[in-house]
Amino acid sequence: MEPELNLRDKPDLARAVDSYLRELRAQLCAHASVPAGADLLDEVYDHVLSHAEHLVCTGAPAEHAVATAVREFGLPAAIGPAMRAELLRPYLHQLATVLLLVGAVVGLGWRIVLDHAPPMPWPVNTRPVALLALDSGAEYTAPAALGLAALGLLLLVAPTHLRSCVRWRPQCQRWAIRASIASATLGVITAMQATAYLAIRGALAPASLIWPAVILAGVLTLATTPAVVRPLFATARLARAH
Amino acid sequence: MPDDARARELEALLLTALAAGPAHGYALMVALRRHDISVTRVDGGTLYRALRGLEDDGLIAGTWIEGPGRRRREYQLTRRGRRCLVDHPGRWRTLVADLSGVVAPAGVRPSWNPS
Repeated sequence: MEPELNLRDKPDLARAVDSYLRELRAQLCAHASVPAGADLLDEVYDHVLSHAEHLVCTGAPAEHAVATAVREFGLPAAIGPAMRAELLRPYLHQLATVLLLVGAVVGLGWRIVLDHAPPMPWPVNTRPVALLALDSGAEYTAPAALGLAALGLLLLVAPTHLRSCVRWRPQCQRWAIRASIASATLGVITAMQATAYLAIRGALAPASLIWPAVILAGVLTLATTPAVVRPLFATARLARAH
Repeated sequence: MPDDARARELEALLLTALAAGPAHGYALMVALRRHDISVTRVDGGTLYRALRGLEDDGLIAGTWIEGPGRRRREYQLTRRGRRCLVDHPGRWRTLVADLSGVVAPAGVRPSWNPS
């Protein structure tokens, strides 16, 4: 058994380790929105102390042991980017999955609400241009958002399940980031189009909507927002430095 | 050797090391460094990146263990990881066989301290 290195008795050494972890935290973009970053830093802390304890056991002074353990773990600027890329993957996976599921469920829900609504007071070709434009716009952006989310998920899953494709993992991850961010952007555009469509239709022909169903669908749509925002924020934060 | 090939070799070596039993990151690094070939001379960042990659792929699973004053993450092979190790392409087999002789007797065990 190696002796435990108690840093509470050695404030200088504790400061050296803390300073190293602070630099690494900055490189990892570890933040409340990226809890995996805190886990990784705990692992690094344990690794550095285990290494230092090992060196102390072989006769090295504690100061030298800690300095060596920190140095051999790697410079934060050198090891940070690669570690950040691995931290990003689970959040990206979560984001693509949530975008696909939430997009499909919310889209289907609104389709049902609008298909069962009373008819509008105008024939199709005499409807207000804004309604026609927003309706047809959403018909393109919604499937595109879903398709990009599915593509992002596929790009992440393929190298994992096909070991022969594993060499393409970094490139796949970069394209998965783009696809997922584009999907989220199109999802927001679709939501804005749908909101404007409902507002205009509600103002011009309020009897053409079943309001309790619209309000319920709206509340449920808003309730899905945190499920998207959390992985989106973590992905955007880590990807910005990727 | 390209970085990508090195990463694949490191992953194969980590799977081999974990076949001997659960181990934490530092114990794995000690086990790898006992065999002085280029792919085993890795820094901590590369090691933990490889471990995260294997964990995301479902080949290994990590568990937190509360220790005195700090917590430690211990890794072990999953069923999929064992299958992957058995099914490794031929080009890994010699390397894996070489390292099995080094890593397994080195005693990468689930002890708190690597010894």
